[in-house]
Amino acid sequence: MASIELQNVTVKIGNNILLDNVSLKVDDGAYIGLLGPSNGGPSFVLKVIAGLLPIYSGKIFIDEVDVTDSHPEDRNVGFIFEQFNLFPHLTVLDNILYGPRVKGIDLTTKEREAKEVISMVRLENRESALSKELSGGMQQRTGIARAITAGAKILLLDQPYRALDAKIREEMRFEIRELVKELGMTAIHSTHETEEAMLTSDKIAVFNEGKLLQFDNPETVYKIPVNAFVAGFLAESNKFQVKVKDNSFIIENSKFIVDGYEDGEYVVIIRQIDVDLTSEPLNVVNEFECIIDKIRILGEFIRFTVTINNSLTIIVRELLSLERNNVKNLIGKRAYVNFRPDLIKLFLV
Amino acid sequence: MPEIKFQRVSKIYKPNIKAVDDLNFTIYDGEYISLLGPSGCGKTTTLRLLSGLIKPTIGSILWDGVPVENIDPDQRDIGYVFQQFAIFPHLNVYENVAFGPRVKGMKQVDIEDITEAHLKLVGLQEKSYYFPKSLDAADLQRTGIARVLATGAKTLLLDEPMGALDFKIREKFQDELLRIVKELKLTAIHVTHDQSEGMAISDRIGVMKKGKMIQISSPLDYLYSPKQIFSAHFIGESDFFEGVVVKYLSKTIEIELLGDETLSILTKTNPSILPGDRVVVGVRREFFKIEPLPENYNLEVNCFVGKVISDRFLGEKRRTKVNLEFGRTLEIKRNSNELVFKEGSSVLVRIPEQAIRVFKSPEISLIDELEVT
Repeated sequence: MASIELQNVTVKIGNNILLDNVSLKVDDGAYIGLLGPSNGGPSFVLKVIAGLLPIYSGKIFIDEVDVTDSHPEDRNVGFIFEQFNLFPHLTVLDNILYGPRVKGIDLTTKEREAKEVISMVRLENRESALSKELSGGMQQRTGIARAITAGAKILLLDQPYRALDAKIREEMRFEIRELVKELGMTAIHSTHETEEAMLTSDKIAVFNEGKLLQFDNPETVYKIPVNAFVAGFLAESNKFQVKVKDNSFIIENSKFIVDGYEDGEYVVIIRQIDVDLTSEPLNVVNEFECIIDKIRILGEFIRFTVTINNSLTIIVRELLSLERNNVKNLIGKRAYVNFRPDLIKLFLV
Repeated sequence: MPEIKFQRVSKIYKPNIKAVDDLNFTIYDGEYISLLGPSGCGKTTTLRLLSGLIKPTIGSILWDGVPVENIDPDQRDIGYVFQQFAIFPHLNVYENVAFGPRVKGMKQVDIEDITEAHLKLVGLQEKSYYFPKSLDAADLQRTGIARVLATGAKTLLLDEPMGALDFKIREKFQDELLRIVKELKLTAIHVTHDQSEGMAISDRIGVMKKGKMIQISSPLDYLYSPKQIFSAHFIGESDFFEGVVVKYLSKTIEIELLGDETLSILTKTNPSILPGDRVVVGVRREFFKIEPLPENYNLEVNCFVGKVISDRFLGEKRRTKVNLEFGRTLEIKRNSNELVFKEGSSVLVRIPEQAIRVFKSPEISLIDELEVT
């Protein structure tokens, strides 16, 4: 149970600006996702809240109390790293009780609490196992149990599932969100993966080059991105620079129609998933004949590389479907792509 | 470019601890193979066996028909690429790539030719005088790959080669790596925990579990005709239903599903499934069809009535959870521009016959069979 506020926070190391005048307000009990490239901002935000990175200017509040100059151990935050950070030769229980033991806290009540938390994170049969004997998912659960037992009100998760197998990741992202909500904790979770952020978070903050670009609910950030970076970061995209005249633009001799844009120079973002690929023409606006050059199976998605007019390369992404069971036979074949005008995103240069 | 054959290969560390267990498979000349599986499944041990760093306890590995124990590791022309970029920090990119040819005592002119050709191959000509500390992760890995290829490696062993790379540049890197392997006609064996990376890059994928090779086949085979319950579960996402074969007709079988109510599905016959068999039915989450429940409907075969628990928009797709009337919950992955369902709305879920995969029930419980830890 804690609210967090960053007020105009700037972090500098030498001449490098790691965070650039970031202001962010996180409500009590919220689960917030931070998205951005490596060193783009998300990890620095977590470290600043935890007190692990000194700030150059600005203020940080936890529960409306100014903690800008407080020690990390006085901030009631639990930090979960990608690399687990457990003691390999201690058991699950001893890892969890390490902090209270060092602080000289009475272990009898703490041990009972720890055991309750261990069962919450589904490690009840593993409390005596050495942490080095555990799988990655179990080690990450141990870390979370340690933070909860230590009394953290805020959980800071820095790419917590990056090192885990896809299957474990799927389970953990649901489970940990549920647990955080059940305990009424506030969580901030940095990740590179849009789906992970969209699935777990109440709101998403997108960063690049230390700047907070957009902070809103997941659907708004995805559908109404504030700039080309956010639009392209949220989903794999085709990107071009064009001149719009009379609500149309030309790329490599192909004319595209859009609606509601003034004449000018724009960056165009067309998400791969928004391009429709068909074997027969649908006779809709922005439809072009194309040749399928390359097909990659990505698991739940199939990625097609197609060429329009022998010159314009477009990447199309499609959700796996039953109808595509012989998809590899389509390489070199003629097909049609169409681009819905309302899904073409334009941003003034 | 060799053909590599595993013949009944086991690696046993202590009594009863089999890191790999009776591996029998062939990696063909020029093939790109990925090994996938939960941590501890034996995929890295398999790579280490190939490299000669460890030897099989039982069985043998044949390198173009010759048992590998008779070939010196240096003569196997192997290049090992690690996640942590095994390159020299005090040498620039050029000198890192030239290192192998130099150690082999090649003539200066050959060293220069080989080094330049490999820098070009990975697109680092412009950065040849950069030192590792000023390169990003992708360029560090490009240097690592050029370095092992310059030694004349014909077989590439890649252990999580993109593990340290930003998510957003991995797809580009996969394309580059695949182009290099195919252009040089190398044989590549790639260990990864990222399924979509394995799918995108490989001719075939081997899924391992507890030291055993569960299935080895093309990415499309895993998606459309998985051979084992575990591989259907591990690659992508499926829902599973337990049932019993109650009727065997000429071209179809009827399976009664276990649930609060008796419901059955019809699917085509399968020679290994007999009447009375306990079975598991698997359906990929992308293959369900869902529509609002019509006012008047006749429940057709393989159709189920349910209520939507949640319908989450995730950008490139949506995930819709449905509680079926016969007491099962399933999850459907749909295009994000499809119809949005309100929580609690009644729906009809259809399972197309081609989407149904039937497996014999495992000897252990289904939960244990699917466990990934």
